[in-house]
Amino acid sequence: MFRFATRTDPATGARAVNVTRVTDLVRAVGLVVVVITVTLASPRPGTGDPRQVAIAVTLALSAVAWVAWMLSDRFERLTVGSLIVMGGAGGVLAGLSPNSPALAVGCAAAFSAGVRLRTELSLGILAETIAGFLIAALAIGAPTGVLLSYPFALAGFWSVSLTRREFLVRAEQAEHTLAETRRAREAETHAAALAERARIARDIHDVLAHSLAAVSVNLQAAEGLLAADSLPADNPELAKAVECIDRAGTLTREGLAAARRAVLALREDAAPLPDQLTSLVAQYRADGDQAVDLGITGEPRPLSEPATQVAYRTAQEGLTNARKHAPGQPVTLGLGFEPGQLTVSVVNPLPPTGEQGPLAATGAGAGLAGLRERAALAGGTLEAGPADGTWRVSLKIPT
Amino acid sequence: MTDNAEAVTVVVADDQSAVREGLVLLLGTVPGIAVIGEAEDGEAAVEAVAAKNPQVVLMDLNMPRCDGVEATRRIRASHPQTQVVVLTTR
Repeated sequence: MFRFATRTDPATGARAVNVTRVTDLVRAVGLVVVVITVTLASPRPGTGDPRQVAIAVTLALSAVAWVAWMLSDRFERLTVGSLIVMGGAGGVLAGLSPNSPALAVGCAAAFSAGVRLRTELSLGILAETIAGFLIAALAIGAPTGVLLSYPFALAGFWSVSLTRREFLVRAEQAEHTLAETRRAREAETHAAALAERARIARDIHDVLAHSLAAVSVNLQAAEGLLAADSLPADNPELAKAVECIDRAGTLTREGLAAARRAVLALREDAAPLPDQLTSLVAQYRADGDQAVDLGITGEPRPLSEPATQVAYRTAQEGLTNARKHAPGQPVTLGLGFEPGQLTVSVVNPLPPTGEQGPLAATGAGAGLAGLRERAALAGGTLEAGPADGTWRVSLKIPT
Repeated sequence: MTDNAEAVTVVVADDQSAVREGLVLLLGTVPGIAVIGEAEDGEAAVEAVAAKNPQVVLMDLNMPRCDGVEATRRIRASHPQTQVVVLTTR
Protein backbone atom coordinates (compact mmCIF):
# COMPACT_ATOMS: atom_id res chain seq x y z
CA MET A 1 0.00 0.00 0.00
CA PHE A 2 1.32 3.44 -0.92
CA ARG A 3 2.00 5.87 1.91
CA PHE A 4 3.24 9.43 1.83
CA ALA A 5 6.57 9.94 3.53
CA THR A 6 6.13 11.60 6.90
CA ARG A 7 8.43 13.32 9.35
CA THR A 8 8.12 13.69 13.12
CA ASP A 9 8.48 17.09 14.72
CA PRO A 10 11.21 16.66 17.38
CA ALA A 11 9.59 19.17 19.73
CA THR A 12 5.94 18.23 19.56
CA GLY A 13 6.13 14.65 18.34
CA ALA A 14 3.52 15.46 15.68
CA ARG A 15 3.73 13.58 12.37
CA ALA A 16 3.41 15.57 9.18
CA VAL A 17 3.43 14.64 5.51
CA ASN A 18 6.73 15.45 3.84
CA VAL A 19 5.45 18.11 1.41
CA THR A 20 8.64 18.19 -0.64
CA ARG A 21 8.37 14.49 -1.40
CA VAL A 22 4.70 14.87 -2.42
CA THR A 23 5.53 17.81 -4.68
CA ASP A 24 8.31 15.83 -6.35
CA LEU A 25 5.88 12.98 -6.91
CA VAL A 26 3.30 15.29 -8.51
CA ARG A 27 5.94 16.80 -10.79
CA ALA A 28 7.15 13.37 -11.88
CA VAL A 29 3.61 12.19 -12.58
CA GLY A 30 2.96 15.40 -14.53
CA LEU A 31 6.02 14.79 -16.70
CA VAL A 32 5.00 11.20 -17.41
CA VAL A 33 1.44 12.26 -18.29
CA VAL A 34 2.65 15.01 -20.64
CA VAL A 35 5.15 12.72 -22.40
CA ILE A 36 2.58 9.93 -22.82
CA THR A 37 -0.30 12.13 -23.96
CA VAL A 38 1.84 14.14 -26.39
CA THR A 39 3.26 10.91 -27.74
CA LEU A 40 -0.22 9.48 -28.28
CA ALA A 41 -1.75 12.69 -29.67
CA SER A 42 -2.00 13.36 -33.39
CA PRO A 43 0.32 14.19 -35.05
CA ARG A 44 2.65 11.91 -33.15
CA PRO A 45 6.35 12.60 -32.63
CA GLY A 46 8.56 10.55 -34.90
CA THR A 47 10.87 10.67 -37.91
CA GLY A 48 8.25 10.45 -40.68
CA ASP A 49 8.05 14.13 -41.56
CA PRO A 50 9.67 17.36 -40.35
CA ARG A 51 6.71 18.22 -38.08
CA GLN A 52 6.96 14.84 -36.31
CA VAL A 53 10.69 15.38 -35.88
CA ALA A 54 10.05 18.89 -34.53
CA ILE A 55 7.47 17.51 -32.08
CA ALA A 56 9.93 14.86 -30.94
CA VAL A 57 12.67 17.45 -30.47
CA THR A 58 10.50 19.96 -28.57
CA LEU A 59 9.00 17.16 -26.44
CA ALA A 60 12.49 15.93 -25.57
CA LEU A 61 13.58 19.49 -24.83
CA SER A 62 10.55 20.06 -22.64
CA ALA A 63 11.12 16.78 -20.79
CA VAL A 64 14.80 17.55 -20.16
CA ALA A 65 13.92 21.05 -18.94
CA TRP A 66 11.18 19.55 -16.75
CA VAL A 67 13.65 17.14 -15.14
CA ALA A 68 16.16 19.97 -14.64
CA TRP A 69 13.39 22.02 -13.02
CA MET A 70 12.63 19.13 -10.65
CA LEU A 71 16.28 18.97 -9.60
CA SER A 72 16.87 22.71 -9.34
CA ASP A 73 15.37 23.48 -5.92
CA ARG A 74 18.62 24.88 -4.51
CA PHE A 75 19.97 26.47 -7.69
CA GLU A 76 18.13 29.58 -8.79
CA ARG A 77 19.98 29.91 -12.11
CA LEU A 78 19.10 26.35 -13.08
CA THR A 79 15.50 27.03 -12.08
CA VAL A 80 15.35 30.15 -14.22
CA GLY A 81 17.01 28.41 -17.18
CA SER A 82 14.79 25.33 -17.03
CA LEU A 83 11.60 27.43 -16.70
CA ILE A 84 12.58 29.60 -19.69
CA VAL A 85 13.15 26.48 -21.78
CA MET A 86 9.90 24.92 -20.57
CA GLY A 87 7.95 28.09 -21.42
CA GLY A 88 9.42 28.40 -24.90
CA ALA A 89 9.45 24.68 -25.78
CA GLY A 90 5.96 24.23 -24.32
CA GLY A 91 4.65 27.00 -26.58
CA VAL A 92 6.26 25.50 -29.68
CA LEU A 93 5.01 22.04 -28.71
CA ALA A 94 1.46 23.40 -28.27
CA GLY A 95 1.69 24.84 -31.78
CA LEU A 96 3.11 21.68 -33.33
CA SER A 97 0.76 19.35 -31.42
CA PRO A 98 -2.40 21.38 -30.77
CA ASN A 99 -4.40 18.32 -29.75
CA SER A 100 -2.00 17.43 -26.92
CA PRO A 101 -1.98 18.83 -23.39
CA ALA A 102 1.29 20.70 -24.11
CA LEU A 103 -0.27 23.68 -22.36
CA ALA A 104 0.52 21.83 -19.11
CA VAL A 105 4.24 22.48 -19.70
CA GLY A 106 3.63 26.22 -19.93
CA CYS A 107 1.30 26.20 -16.93
CA ALA A 108 3.92 24.34 -14.88
CA ALA A 109 6.55 26.91 -15.89
CA ALA A 110 4.31 29.89 -15.04
CA PHE A 111 3.17 28.40 -11.73
CA SER A 112 6.65 27.37 -10.61
CA ALA A 113 8.13 30.75 -11.58
CA GLY A 114 5.52 32.49 -9.42
CA VAL A 115 6.20 30.23 -6.43
CA ARG A 116 9.98 30.06 -6.52
CA LEU A 117 11.23 33.29 -8.08
CA ARG A 118 10.99 36.92 -7.14
CA THR A 119 8.07 38.71 -8.75
CA GLU A 120 9.89 40.64 -11.50
CA LEU A 121 11.75 37.52 -12.59
CA SER A 122 8.65 35.33 -12.57
CA LEU A 123 6.74 38.02 -14.47
CA GLY A 124 9.44 37.92 -17.17
CA ILE A 125 9.15 34.15 -17.52
CA LEU A 126 5.36 34.43 -17.64
CA ALA A 127 5.62 36.97 -20.47
CA GLU A 128 8.11 34.77 -22.34
CA THR A 129 5.84 31.75 -21.95
CA ILE A 130 2.73 33.60 -23.13
CA ALA A 131 4.69 34.98 -26.08
CA GLY A 132 5.88 31.48 -27.00
CA PHE A 133 2.35 30.05 -26.92
CA LEU A 134 0.84 33.01 -28.82
CA ILE A 135 3.51 32.98 -31.55
CA ALA A 136 3.11 29.25 -32.06
CA ALA A 137 -0.70 29.57 -32.10
CA LEU A 138 -0.55 32.43 -34.61
CA ALA A 139 1.87 30.46 -36.76
CA ILE A 140 -0.54 27.58 -37.13
CA GLY A 141 -3.57 29.88 -37.45
CA ALA A 142 -5.22 28.79 -34.23
CA PRO A 143 -8.73 30.11 -33.62
CA THR A 144 -9.25 33.27 -31.57
CA GLY A 145 -10.61 31.28 -28.63
CA VAL A 146 -7.38 29.35 -28.38
CA LEU A 147 -5.36 32.54 -28.72
CA LEU A 148 -7.28 34.10 -25.84
CA SER A 149 -7.23 31.02 -23.68
CA TYR A 150 -3.42 30.84 -23.50
CA PRO A 151 -2.83 34.19 -21.74
CA PHE A 152 -5.79 33.63 -19.39
CA ALA A 153 -4.71 30.11 -18.44
CA LEU A 154 -1.02 30.97 -17.98
CA ALA A 155 -1.71 34.23 -16.11
CA GLY A 156 -4.27 32.43 -13.97
CA PHE A 157 -1.74 29.78 -12.91
CA TRP A 158 0.80 32.51 -12.24
CA SER A 159 -1.70 34.43 -10.04
CA VAL A 160 -2.51 31.34 -8.01
CA SER A 161 1.21 30.71 -7.60
CA LEU A 162 1.63 34.10 -5.91
CA THR A 163 -0.83 33.00 -3.23
CA ARG A 164 1.13 29.82 -2.80
CA ARG A 165 4.36 31.82 -2.55
CA GLU A 166 2.83 34.06 0.13
CA PHE A 167 1.73 30.96 2.05
CA LEU A 168 5.23 29.47 1.87
CA VAL A 169 6.84 32.71 3.03
CA ARG A 170 4.48 32.92 5.98
CA ALA A 171 5.05 29.26 6.82
CA GLU A 172 8.79 29.82 6.75
CA GLN A 173 8.43 32.86 8.99
CA ALA A 174 6.24 30.87 11.38
CA GLU A 175 8.82 28.08 11.52
CA HIS A 176 11.57 30.61 12.11
CA THR A 177 9.58 32.24 14.91
CA LEU A 178 8.84 28.85 16.42
CA ALA A 179 12.50 27.88 16.32
CA GLU A 180 13.46 31.19 17.93
CA THR A 181 10.87 30.66 20.64
CA ARG A 182 12.20 27.17 21.30
CA ARG A 183 15.77 28.45 21.50
CA ALA A 184 14.71 31.25 23.85
CA ARG A 185 12.85 28.80 26.06
CA GLU A 186 15.82 26.44 26.16
CA ALA A 187 18.15 29.34 27.00
CA GLU A 188 15.77 30.46 29.72
CA THR A 189 15.64 26.98 31.21
CA HIS A 190 19.42 26.68 31.03
CA ALA A 191 19.87 30.08 32.67
CA ALA A 192 17.45 29.13 35.45
CA ALA A 193 19.36 25.91 36.05
CA LEU A 194 22.65 27.80 36.14
CA ALA A 195 21.20 30.35 38.56
CA GLU A 196 20.01 27.58 40.84
CA ARG A 197 23.40 25.86 40.75
CA ALA A 198 25.11 29.16 41.45
CA ARG A 199 22.77 29.78 44.38
CA ILE A 200 23.49 26.34 45.86
CA ALA A 201 27.22 26.87 45.33
CA ARG A 202 27.00 30.26 47.01
CA ASP A 203 25.08 28.81 49.94
CA ILE A 204 27.64 26.03 50.39
CA HIS A 205 30.48 28.53 50.17
CA ASP A 206 28.94 31.20 52.37
CA VAL A 207 27.30 29.03 55.00
CA LEU A 208 28.81 25.57 55.13
CA ALA A 209 32.39 26.44 54.22
CA HIS A 210 32.46 29.46 56.53
CA SER A 211 31.04 27.42 59.39
CA LEU A 212 33.54 24.63 58.85
CA ALA A 213 36.36 27.18 58.72
CA ALA A 214 35.17 28.64 62.03
CA VAL A 215 34.98 25.15 63.56
CA SER A 216 38.49 24.43 62.30
CA VAL A 217 39.87 27.60 63.88
CA ASN A 218 38.21 26.79 67.17
CA LEU A 219 39.46 23.20 67.14
CA GLN A 220 42.99 24.44 66.54
CA ALA A 221 42.56 26.85 69.42
CA ALA A 222 41.30 24.06 71.68
CA GLU A 223 44.22 21.88 70.64
CA GLY A 224 46.61 24.70 71.47
CA LEU A 225 44.96 25.30 74.85
CA LEU A 226 45.12 21.62 75.77
CA ALA A 227 48.81 21.55 74.90
CA ALA A 228 49.57 24.33 77.37
CA ASP A 229 52.49 23.66 79.75
CA SER A 230 50.26 24.25 82.76
CA LEU A 231 48.24 21.10 82.02
CA PRO A 232 49.57 17.66 83.00
CA ALA A 233 51.09 15.99 79.97
CA ASP A 234 50.61 12.45 81.33
CA ASN A 235 46.89 12.71 82.02
CA PRO A 236 45.24 9.89 79.97
CA GLU A 237 41.85 11.69 79.75
CA LEU A 238 43.57 14.80 78.50
CA ALA A 239 45.46 12.76 75.90
CA LYS A 240 42.16 11.27 74.73
CA ALA A 241 40.61 14.73 74.52
CA VAL A 242 43.52 15.93 72.41
CA GLU A 243 43.13 12.88 70.19
CA CYS A 244 39.40 13.57 69.79
CA ILE A 245 40.05 17.20 68.90
CA ASP A 246 42.76 16.18 66.47
CA ARG A 247 40.36 13.75 64.79
CA ALA A 248 37.62 16.37 64.70
CA GLY A 249 40.07 18.81 63.14
CA THR A 250 40.99 16.29 60.45
CA LEU A 251 37.32 15.60 59.72
CA THR A 252 36.60 19.32 59.56
CA ARG A 253 39.41 19.95 57.12
CA GLU A 254 38.25 17.04 54.98
CA GLY A 255 34.69 18.41 55.10
CA LEU A 256 35.97 21.83 54.11
CA ALA A 257 37.85 20.36 51.16
CA ALA A 258 34.73 18.39 50.14
CA ALA A 259 32.61 21.55 50.36
CA ARG A 260 35.06 23.39 48.13
CA ARG A 261 35.02 20.52 45.64
CA ALA A 262 31.21 20.62 45.66
CA VAL A 263 31.27 24.35 45.00
CA LEU A 264 33.69 23.82 42.11
CA ALA A 265 31.55 21.02 40.68
CA LEU A 266 28.42 23.14 40.89
CA ARG A 267 30.18 25.98 39.14
CA GLU A 268 31.50 23.75 36.34
CA ASP A 269 28.55 24.70 34.18
CA ALA A 270 28.66 28.30 35.25
CA ALA A 271 28.41 31.26 32.94
CA PRO A 272 31.00 31.52 30.14
CA LEU A 273 34.27 33.21 31.09
CA PRO A 274 33.57 36.45 29.16
CA ASP A 275 30.29 36.83 31.08
CA GLN A 276 32.04 36.10 34.38
CA LEU A 277 34.71 38.71 33.67
CA THR A 278 32.09 41.24 32.61
CA SER A 279 30.38 40.74 35.98
CA LEU A 280 33.73 40.96 37.77
CA VAL A 281 34.55 44.24 36.07
CA ALA A 282 31.09 45.62 36.86
CA GLN A 283 31.57 44.66 40.51
CA TYR A 284 35.04 46.23 40.50
CA ARG A 285 33.65 49.49 39.13
CA ALA A 286 30.86 49.44 41.69
CA ASP A 287 33.32 48.90 44.54
CA GLY A 288 35.39 51.99 43.81
CA ASP A 289 36.19 54.82 41.49
CA GLN A 290 39.01 53.06 39.63
CA ALA A 291 38.55 52.92 35.85
CA VAL A 292 38.77 49.47 34.30
CA ASP A 293 38.36 48.36 30.70
CA LEU A 294 37.68 44.81 29.56
CA GLY A 295 38.84 43.81 26.09
CA ILE A 296 38.01 40.43 24.57
CA THR A 297 39.77 39.29 21.42
CA GLY A 298 39.25 36.17 19.34
CA GLU A 299 36.18 33.99 19.07
CA PRO A 300 35.00 32.90 22.55
CA ARG A 301 34.80 29.13 22.93
CA PRO A 302 33.93 26.70 25.72
CA LEU A 303 36.74 26.17 28.24
CA SER A 304 37.49 23.48 30.79
CA GLU A 305 36.63 24.27 34.40
CA PRO A 306 40.31 24.43 35.52
CA ALA A 307 41.13 26.83 32.68
CA THR A 308 38.10 28.98 33.49
CA GLN A 309 38.99 28.99 37.18
CA VAL A 310 42.62 30.00 36.73
CA ALA A 311 41.69 32.68 34.19
CA TYR A 312 39.02 34.12 36.46
CA ARG A 313 41.27 34.01 39.54
CA THR A 314 44.07 35.70 37.62
CA ALA A 315 41.77 38.54 36.59
CA GLN A 316 40.41 38.80 40.12
CA GLU A 317 43.86 38.82 41.75
CA GLY A 318 45.20 41.27 39.15
CA LEU A 319 42.37 43.71 39.82
CA THR A 320 42.76 43.34 43.59
CA ASN A 321 46.50 44.02 43.31
CA ALA A 322 45.86 47.05 41.11
CA ARG A 323 43.55 48.46 43.76
CA LYS A 324 46.05 47.71 46.49
CA HIS A 325 49.21 48.96 44.84
CA ALA A 326 48.06 51.50 42.27
CA PRO A 327 44.84 53.06 43.56
CA GLY A 328 43.23 55.46 41.13
CA GLN A 329 45.23 54.19 38.17
CA PRO A 330 43.25 52.88 35.18
CA VAL A 331 43.33 49.13 34.69
CA THR A 332 43.08 47.22 31.43
CA LEU A 333 41.84 43.64 31.62
CA GLY A 334 42.39 41.60 28.47
CA LEU A 335 41.01 38.18 27.56
CA GLY A 336 42.31 36.56 24.40
CA PHE A 337 40.98 33.42 22.72
CA GLU A 338 44.00 32.58 20.61
CA PRO A 339 44.54 29.42 18.56
CA GLY A 340 45.43 26.71 21.04
CA GLN A 341 45.70 28.97 24.06
CA LEU A 342 43.87 31.40 26.30
CA THR A 343 45.49 34.59 27.52
CA VAL A 344 44.55 36.89 30.36
CA SER A 345 46.35 40.16 31.05
CA VAL A 346 45.87 42.80 33.71
CA VAL A 347 47.82 46.00 33.06
CA ASN A 348 47.94 49.23 35.02
CA PRO A 349 50.38 52.15 35.09
CA LEU A 350 52.89 51.99 37.93
CA PRO A 351 51.94 54.41 40.71
CA PRO A 352 54.17 57.45 41.30
CA THR A 353 57.15 56.56 43.50
CA GLY A 354 56.25 56.60 47.18
CA GLU A 355 52.49 56.46 46.60
CA GLN A 356 50.83 53.24 47.55
CA GLY A 357 47.31 52.27 48.44
CA PRO A 358 46.07 51.63 51.96
CA LEU A 359 46.07 47.90 51.29
CA ALA A 360 49.58 47.85 49.87
CA ALA A 361 51.05 46.43 53.05
CA THR A 362 48.57 43.58 53.16
CA GLY A 363 49.62 40.31 51.62
CA ALA A 364 53.05 39.55 50.27
CA GLY A 365 52.58 38.15 46.79
CA ALA A 366 51.02 34.98 48.15
CA GLY A 367 48.11 35.39 45.73
CA LEU A 368 50.39 35.52 42.70
CA ALA A 369 52.35 32.52 43.96
CA GLY A 370 49.09 30.59 44.25
CA LEU A 371 48.10 31.66 40.77
CA ARG A 372 51.44 30.50 39.35
CA GLU A 373 50.77 27.10 40.89
CA ARG A 374 47.25 27.03 39.42
CA ALA A 375 48.58 28.08 36.02
CA ALA A 376 51.26 25.38 36.14
CA LEU A 377 48.63 22.76 37.06
CA ALA A 378 46.67 23.85 33.99
CA GLY A 379 49.83 23.49 31.87
CA GLY A 380 50.33 27.23 31.50
CA THR A 381 52.45 30.07 32.80
CA LEU A 382 51.83 33.23 34.76
CA GLU A 383 54.17 36.19 34.71
CA ALA A 384 53.92 39.38 36.73
CA GLY A 385 56.21 42.37 36.80
CA PRO A 386 56.93 45.88 35.55
CA ALA A 387 57.03 46.53 31.82
CA ASP A 388 57.29 49.91 30.07
CA GLY A 389 56.05 51.93 33.01
CA THR A 390 53.20 49.54 33.74
CA TRP A 391 52.63 46.59 36.01
CA ARG A 392 51.60 43.61 33.96
CA VAL A 393 50.12 40.27 35.00
CA SER A 394 50.03 37.86 32.09
CA LEU A 395 48.55 34.37 32.00
CA LYS A 396 48.85 31.88 29.15
CA ILE A 397 47.24 28.48 29.29
CA PRO A 398 46.79 25.89 26.55
CA THR A 399 43.21 25.09 25.57
CA MET B 1 50.86 33.66 78.00
CA THR B 2 53.57 35.99 76.82
CA ASP B 3 54.15 39.26 78.53
CA ASN B 4 52.28 42.00 76.61
CA ALA B 5 55.26 44.32 76.85
CA GLU B 6 57.34 41.97 74.68
CA ALA B 7 54.65 40.34 72.53
CA VAL B 8 53.31 41.47 69.19
CA THR B 9 50.01 43.15 69.99
CA VAL B 10 47.07 42.18 67.86
CA VAL B 11 43.47 43.31 67.34
CA VAL B 12 41.17 40.76 65.70
CA ALA B 13 38.34 42.16 63.54
CA ASP B 14 35.73 39.71 62.25
CA ASP B 15 31.94 39.95 62.29
CA GLN B 16 31.51 36.21 62.88
CA SER B 17 31.88 35.73 66.63
CA ALA B 18 32.76 32.05 66.27
CA VAL B 19 35.67 32.88 64.00
CA ARG B 20 36.73 35.93 65.98
CA GLU B 21 36.70 34.18 69.34
CA GLY B 22 38.38 31.13 67.86
CA LEU B 23 41.16 33.29 66.44
CA VAL B 24 41.56 35.04 69.79
CA LEU B 25 41.86 31.70 71.54
CA LEU B 26 44.21 30.31 68.89
CA LEU B 27 46.49 33.36 68.89
CA GLY B 28 46.45 33.29 72.66
CA THR B 29 48.19 29.93 72.54
CA VAL B 30 50.98 31.21 70.29
CA PRO B 31 54.03 32.50 72.15
CA GLY B 32 54.96 36.07 71.30
CA ILE B 33 51.45 37.20 70.34
CA ALA B 34 49.07 39.11 72.59
CA VAL B 35 45.51 39.80 71.50
CA ILE B 36 44.63 43.15 73.04
CA GLY B 37 41.30 43.78 71.37
CA GLU B 38 38.41 42.46 69.29
CA ALA B 39 36.10 44.18 66.85
CA GLU B 40 32.89 42.96 65.25
CA ASP B 41 33.01 45.38 62.32
CA GLY B 42 35.23 47.95 60.60
CA GLU B 43 34.07 50.86 62.73
CA ALA B 44 34.88 48.97 65.91
CA ALA B 45 38.26 48.02 64.45
CA VAL B 46 39.16 51.65 63.78
CA GLU B 47 38.08 52.57 67.31
CA ALA B 48 40.06 49.67 68.82
CA VAL B 49 43.20 50.73 66.95
CA ALA B 50 42.75 54.32 68.11
CA ALA B 51 42.31 53.18 71.69
CA LYS B 52 44.92 50.45 71.93
CA ASN B 53 47.44 51.21 69.18
CA PRO B 54 48.18 47.56 68.24
CA GLN B 55 51.10 46.51 66.08
CA VAL B 56 48.92 44.25 63.94
CA VAL B 57 45.25 44.10 62.98
CA LEU B 58 43.83 40.83 61.72
CA MET B 59 41.11 42.16 59.43
CA ASP B 60 38.19 40.35 57.80
CA LEU B 61 37.19 41.98 54.51
CA ASN B 62 33.46 41.31 54.53
CA MET B 63 31.93 43.04 57.52
CA PRO B 64 28.81 45.15 58.13
CA ARG B 65 28.74 48.93 58.70
CA CYS B 66 32.33 49.54 57.55
CA ASP B 67 34.04 46.80 55.54
CA GLY B 68 37.64 45.70 55.86
CA VAL B 69 38.84 47.73 52.88
CA GLU B 70 37.52 51.01 54.26
CA ALA B 71 38.65 50.21 57.80
CA THR B 72 42.14 49.38 56.50
CA ARG B 73 42.25 52.65 54.57
CA ARG B 74 41.41 54.62 57.69
CA ILE B 75 43.74 52.69 59.97
CA ARG B 76 46.67 53.05 57.55
CA ALA B 77 45.97 56.78 57.34
CA SER B 78 45.78 57.37 61.09
CA HIS B 79 48.22 54.70 62.31
CA PRO B 80 50.73 54.00 59.54
CA GLN B 81 52.87 51.98 61.92
CA THR B 82 50.04 49.46 62.41
CA GLN B 83 50.24 46.53 60.00
CA VAL B 84 47.01 45.08 58.66
CA VAL B 85 46.69 41.41 57.72
CA VAL B 86 43.59 40.76 55.65
CA LEU B 87 41.55 37.61 56.10
CA THR B 88 39.18 36.68 53.32
CA THR B 89 37.64 33.57 51.83
CA ARG B 90 37.17 35.12 48.39
